[in-house]
Amino acid sequence: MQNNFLLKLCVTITSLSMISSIKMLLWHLQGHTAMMMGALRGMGTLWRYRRETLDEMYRIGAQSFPVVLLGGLFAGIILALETGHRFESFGAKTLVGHTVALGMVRELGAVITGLLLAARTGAKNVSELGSMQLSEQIDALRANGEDPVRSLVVPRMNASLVMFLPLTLVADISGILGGMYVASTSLQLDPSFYWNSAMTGLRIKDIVVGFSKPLIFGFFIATISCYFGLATSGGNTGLGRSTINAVVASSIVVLAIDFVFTKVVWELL
Amino acid sequence: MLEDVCLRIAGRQIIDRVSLTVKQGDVAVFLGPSGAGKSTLLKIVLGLWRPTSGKVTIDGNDITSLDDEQMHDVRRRMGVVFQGNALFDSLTVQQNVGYFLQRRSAFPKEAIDRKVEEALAFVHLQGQGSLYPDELSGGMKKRVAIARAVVSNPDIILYDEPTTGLDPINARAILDLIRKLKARGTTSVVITHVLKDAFTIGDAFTLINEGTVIAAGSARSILSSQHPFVAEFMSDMLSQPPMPHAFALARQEAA
Ligand SMILES: Nc1ncnc2c1ncn2[C@@H]1O[C@H](COP(=O)(O)OP(=O)(O)O)[C@@H](O)[C@H]1O
Ligand SMILES: [Mg+2]
Repeated sequence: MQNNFLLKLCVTITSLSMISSIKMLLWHLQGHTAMMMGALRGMGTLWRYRRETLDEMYRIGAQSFPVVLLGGLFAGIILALETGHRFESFGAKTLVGHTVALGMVRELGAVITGLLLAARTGAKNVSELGSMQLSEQIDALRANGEDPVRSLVVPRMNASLVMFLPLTLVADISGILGGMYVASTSLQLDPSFYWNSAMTGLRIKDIVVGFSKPLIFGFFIATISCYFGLATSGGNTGLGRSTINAVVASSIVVLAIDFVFTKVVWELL
Repeated sequence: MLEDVCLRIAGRQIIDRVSLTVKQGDVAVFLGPSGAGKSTLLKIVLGLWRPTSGKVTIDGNDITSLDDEQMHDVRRRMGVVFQGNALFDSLTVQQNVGYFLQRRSAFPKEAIDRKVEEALAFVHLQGQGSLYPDELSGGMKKRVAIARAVVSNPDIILYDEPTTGLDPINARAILDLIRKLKARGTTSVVITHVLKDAFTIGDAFTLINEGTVIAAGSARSILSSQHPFVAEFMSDMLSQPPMPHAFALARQEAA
């Protein structure tokens, strides 16, 4: 009897909190969709805000280079180590190059770049736009007839759309080179042999799928983080909350889109 | 100007049936304690919040029914000085002041530069255009914000707590600027909770508390109001405050 009551109480509380978080989710989804549409409609202002866009490209792109390089490198090294020894045990270590190249180009390069940039550019966008919102700079823009979506969100979105692809390429290449280092040092595989196996393993389809992901990732990371930035309220705690929401939401979206690509798009192509 | 305006945010009644009128050329003061809804009222006038019900008319145009494009034309005639100044911290003083002119701009660059110089001279900041907001004192930031509001020659300027957080000398300088603009024929709306400042510059007053108008009109009609909140809010001004003891002592010794 007592236990039954406690159980019901727990279920009620859990379902109430789930309902409220689903309500929150729908609320954010609606807000994000509206802003995304505004940003897409405003994409034509690229030339007008070229300076802002270039600035963002530098800060999203050039400044993320080292992080992405290291991320890709370690992913490639780990991939080569994990698969190499297993392959070696049944005498197929020549497949390492093939595996690393395929893994990096099709999945890991894009996902690692996506996750790193979800954190890096996501946090940057939220804190910039969030503090502008809190200090009434966004109000000042709107009060002077300037649409913050066009002047702040669109340049960041365009910059992400342009820069995510070359960054993914950097991750892919540094991953494959990392794998090559492991192959030659701990598996005694000749680098040129590794390289051959890596390059012949790649098909056009792998490359198309691997390089269309970053475009989608960039789009969602930029719009999600800008949305949470503009929706910030409630002082410094509110800014912290927005940053967490944005980084978590864009990371989840990166993984979810990756799944969709692997499962659906791959089969369609 | 405002008629029966109500605003609910997230189920809370922030503004409740506020009606008030601001006469052209006046310095209209909105008085009230913090949290009364003064800033929210200002944002309603700017069209940043759309009221849940009621009408906001500016020169006979109801702005609550305007779309974004039409709203821009109305906003172009208004300048605003936000409480936290809302300066863009990645831009210099000069770029801050010229920012919106440049954005809208039908003007050539030289004309914008000249207008920016004029605005900076108006607030006594000539030659400081290359500094960044971070390098300025509170009073200077406020003056830059005023320069940004006046640079486009608006008919109406709205100030949100322009003297809050400033030392008495800087606060007086700001009030002088507001008075100078009144002499040019600009209509001003000044939000404040500082009674002394309010009665120094104001022509008409609206006392607001918890989203409703408590009393409105000239200084005299505010003072003759029987509402208990008026007495409570004004008690500092009405009674002769005793000089702080240490201050009185020091003054005696000095004399
Ligand atoms: N974006 C918002 N969401 C919810 N409540 C708000 C928001 N902005 C202001 N409020 C509430 O409205 C009331 C009036 O705020 P405000 O207009 O800033 O007061 P004032 O400027 O007179 O100090 C406050 O109680 C505040 O908590
Ligand atoms: Mg306020």
